[in-house]
Amino acid sequence: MLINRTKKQSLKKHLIALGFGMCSTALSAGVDIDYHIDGFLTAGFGVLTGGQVFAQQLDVNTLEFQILSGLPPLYDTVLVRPSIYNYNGKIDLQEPAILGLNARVDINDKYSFVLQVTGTGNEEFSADYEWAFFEYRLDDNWDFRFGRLRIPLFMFSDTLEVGYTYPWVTPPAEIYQLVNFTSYSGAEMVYENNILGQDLRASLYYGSFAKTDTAAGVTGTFSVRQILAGYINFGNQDIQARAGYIEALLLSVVPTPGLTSIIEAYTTIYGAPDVLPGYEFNNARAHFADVGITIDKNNWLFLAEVVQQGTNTPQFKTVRGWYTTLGYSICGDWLPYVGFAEMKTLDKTSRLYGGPLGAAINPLVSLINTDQKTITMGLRWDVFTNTDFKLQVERIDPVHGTPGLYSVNPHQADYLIRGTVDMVF
Amino acid sequence: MVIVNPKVNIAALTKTDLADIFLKKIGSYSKDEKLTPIDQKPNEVRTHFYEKILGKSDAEMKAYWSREIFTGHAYPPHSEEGDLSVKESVSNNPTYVGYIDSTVVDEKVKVVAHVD
Repeated sequence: MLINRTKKQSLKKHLIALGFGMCSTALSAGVDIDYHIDGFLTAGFGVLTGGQVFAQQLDVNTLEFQILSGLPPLYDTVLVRPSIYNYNGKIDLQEPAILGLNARVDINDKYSFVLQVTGTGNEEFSADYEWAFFEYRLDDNWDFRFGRLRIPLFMFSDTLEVGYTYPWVTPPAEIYQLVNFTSYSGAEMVYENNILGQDLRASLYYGSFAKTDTAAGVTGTFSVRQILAGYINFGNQDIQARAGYIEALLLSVVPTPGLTSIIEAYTTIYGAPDVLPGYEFNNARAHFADVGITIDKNNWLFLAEVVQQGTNTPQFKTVRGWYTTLGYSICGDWLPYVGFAEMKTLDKTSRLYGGPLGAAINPLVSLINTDQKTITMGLRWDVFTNTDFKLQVERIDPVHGTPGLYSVNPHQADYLIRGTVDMVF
Repeated sequence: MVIVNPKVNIAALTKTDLADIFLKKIGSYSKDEKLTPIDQKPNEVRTHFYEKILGKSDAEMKAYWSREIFTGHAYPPHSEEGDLSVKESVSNNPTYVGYIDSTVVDEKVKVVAHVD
């Protein structure tokens, strides 16, 4: 997975600094500054039983290859978020491990500062700032946030790392692996009210995201600019409905003169329509539309969500992902659940090239189709009020001649078995 | 029993009012009257209260507040250790609303709802 290494340092150092920082702020100010520090932790294991391998390694390679070469058919991999699951035939104890710390400082009734630092096991717990924002509360209805914010793309996007907040080991990959950026820098306007006896939360946000990595000595940047998005949550404690929409400009920039010839040569051969002059390429406007519902009533839990992702260029596929999950709470502490999820590429045919170019390039174009179906069975046990244990089995079946989210394409279903312990503290 | 300070000019609170207040929602009641909810630290009284008011278990309430906390939206109400502490706080603060077992109710507080 590509990471902005320049922003990463030891999580442990950050947590210590954060803790002491909070205390000293409150003490030295000598005023009634309210602050909260909370944390979350996930640890566990996962294993793919049938020998399949998920696409993380391929994605890293193809993304680096894309940065280096600018090959349009592989652009799509920048939208794949491999970290939802990354397992192979060996039992993996690193992948589900997540540690996070959240601090909120209420300077007064109007102004607050929120910082959230997370680290994951497969990145050696290096620190990521998912949230670092300043908040201004105009009144009971309006909040304004500025800084680095978690991008609330889908129903569970803003607590993706906090396993305690959802029933599964991780939210279904058919939706939550569609995107590989989780935060943005910008501003958010949140409106909350009670309308017709129901809770309304509406958000409008604008910003950008960029990450840089070096492959083979060449540094490339993937950025998402002009993110303009919003969502509405409406309902009550029993039923919540959500609708969201996001539009953004995707850019990859390779500021290395040595690559010019590669990009230009490629443009000459294939006439790629969106290769820009200079070193920029991959100028695509992407959109995501999302609708979801949560029903949590009389011991029953029902979740469903559908997302459609598309762009204005054939270099990215148009995908629809959806899932549904049904659970029943027993004695308040046990939640067995079953689910089904599907990811489908909607433009497999229309994205193909014609003529001699097609013969050369269509196999690569088709490589990025990732259709799959997943049947899930699981059990969540709330061991303590702040700790759960989850065991989940998924049958992940690549379909329609694609590898699904596996890295190879034997068109075989495989079973993913995962167990985690989630804590909030 | 749901209690407020005797000085508060409130006759009764409905289940919906209590849900709005204790979830810190912008409900019809809490919008007009700035009532501050006082919770209890985990115990049987608290478990019973949330089961009756919201139909949620301790774990479900924890999951709800975790979502609010880790998205920076809200924090749960301040919590006190047991019935007597809640009664003491409510009797000293005209904006506080809490819940206690019926056996410890006295003239220092006013009952505005029964949770049975």
